[in-house]
Amino acid sequence: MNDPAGHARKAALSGYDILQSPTEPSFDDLVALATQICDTPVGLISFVASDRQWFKARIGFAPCETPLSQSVCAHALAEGDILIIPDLTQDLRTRDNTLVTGEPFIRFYAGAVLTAANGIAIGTLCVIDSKPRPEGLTPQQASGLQALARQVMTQLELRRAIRERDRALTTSDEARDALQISEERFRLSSRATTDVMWDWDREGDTFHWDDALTRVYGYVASAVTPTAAWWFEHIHPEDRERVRQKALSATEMGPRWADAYRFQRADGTYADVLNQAFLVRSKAGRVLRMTGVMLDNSARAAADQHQSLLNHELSHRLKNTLAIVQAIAAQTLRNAASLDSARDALLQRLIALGKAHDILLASNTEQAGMEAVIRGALALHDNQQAGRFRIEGPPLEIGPKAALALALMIHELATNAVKYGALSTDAGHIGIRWQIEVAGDDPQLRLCWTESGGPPVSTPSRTGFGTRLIERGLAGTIGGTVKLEYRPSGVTCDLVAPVAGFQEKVEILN
Amino acid sequence: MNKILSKPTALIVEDENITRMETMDIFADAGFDVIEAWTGDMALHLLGKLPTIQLVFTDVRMPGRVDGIRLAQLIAERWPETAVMVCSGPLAFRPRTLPDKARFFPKPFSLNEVSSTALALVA
Repeated sequence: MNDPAGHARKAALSGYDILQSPTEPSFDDLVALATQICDTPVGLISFVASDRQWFKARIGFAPCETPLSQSVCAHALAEGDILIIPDLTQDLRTRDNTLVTGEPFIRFYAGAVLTAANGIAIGTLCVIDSKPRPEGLTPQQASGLQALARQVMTQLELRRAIRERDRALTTSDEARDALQISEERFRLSSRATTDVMWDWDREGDTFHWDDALTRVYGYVASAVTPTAAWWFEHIHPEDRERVRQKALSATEMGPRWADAYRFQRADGTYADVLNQAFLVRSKAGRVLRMTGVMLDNSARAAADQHQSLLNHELSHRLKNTLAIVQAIAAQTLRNAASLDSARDALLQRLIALGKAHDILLASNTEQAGMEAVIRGALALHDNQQAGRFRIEGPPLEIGPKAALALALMIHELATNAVKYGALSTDAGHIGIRWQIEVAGDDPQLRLCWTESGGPPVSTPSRTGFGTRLIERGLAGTIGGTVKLEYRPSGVTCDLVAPVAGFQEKVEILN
Repeated sequence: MNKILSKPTALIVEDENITRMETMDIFADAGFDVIEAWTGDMALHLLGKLPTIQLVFTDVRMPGRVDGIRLAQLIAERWPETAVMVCSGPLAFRPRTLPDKARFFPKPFSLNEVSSTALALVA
């Protein structure tokens, strides 16, 4: 469209956002006043768009818009002020207008131009009659019509101002919504942590904690006095004065403040916290506000402490194991006939001990299956001959002390059997059976080692460390009795011990 | 106590069976009459019954209410004449909680050092 005036008008109209808007009483009233002042049957508020004229308000005229070719108003715009045509049939500009030549045969036209604040004419407030009016409008009517036209513009401006205000309000609503969403997001994400946000207005001494104070430390909001004093009161007495001094003297520090201390939970226990804050200062440098985050480090501190405990425990157990190995070595040497036999015996004992450790370590509970411990101890002496061992008994988990003792006992019994007993011949075999006997409150474990098929057995002339391990293996904390018998038909060993002693766990010290 | 007529008596307090067995042998070889206990409570009971116990050799960590440290403290209070030797792995205990007279040996310990110290304490 090569029409600069048309462009400007279009832009102005679009600024008022008036085209196609619904009827509004204030505009209808102005048109009614215009028809009354000018005494005409028809009145219109007409906006001249690029291809048509559109009527915001109308009296005595049916169409809500007409093509530009039918527009008389378009001619008024060129006048810039007011256009009065007493007889449209006589005017060159309008005599061929189809509204003049045909229905509704309009004859008289007076239009006051609607001029936007920037000087652009956008339409008219016009009155129309079907009869020519040679006298036109009286000066009072003309100035009245123009005054009403200015009122139309005032209404348009008002309308636009309201719209802009609404838009601004909408924008701020959206901003508020965005803020809420952001806060919600923050609240949700902060729920996944143990961080508590706080804000201390130093000037008014108001201290605000966020919801996490309830979630992490258990304080209900009503129990919290919103002052720094409340904060200080809930710091561990040994840390309190230091933290208070440092926080109050934050004036001399940089833009940040940080401290680590013990903060009391609602249940009276203390959490190890790390507290960090930004300082907001006046121009003079006075601290107006501190805004910070208090992090609960307790879990980390507890994990560190637990790790350290485990390290101590491991070290202690290692030394204990070494002490056992030392004792086994010393005992083996003390009772050995020769260095060679001592070396073999020691090696085998350490292997039996090692196997029991393996079985214990394989479970996380530091327990071992009875049968696994027995089979582990026998493995060294099993020549894979079928039917050598008959191992029968209910599943039973036993504690570490019992597992080591039992492994060594079984190992020594098997060692003797290989040397002198059932395992010294191909025909020999050994039954290892256990059961739990419940009599009274203290269930007992009975384990029977029965050798058969071997050579005739006689009681050995001297008792060595092996025999002591068998006979006294359970002495002490496990308790119970062991009866080792050298029967001619084969060695038997009956062990009776409280199940509780067998299942006792080693507690980690703290 | 007449040292010519009777051997000194040592009480070995250790919950680990084989370790206790060997420790008892060490003390027996060194010339002691040896009795055993595997908890601190049991040791206190024996000390109350047998005034002839001149020396207690105890592990630190044992089941029950009285560990080796507590045992050493109680012996210092109730039987100040009785010598105490304490041995342990390097558990996080503070040697200052041991009575002044008590001697500490880290595990695993030296046989010679233990027996010579034991003899010196009852000499």
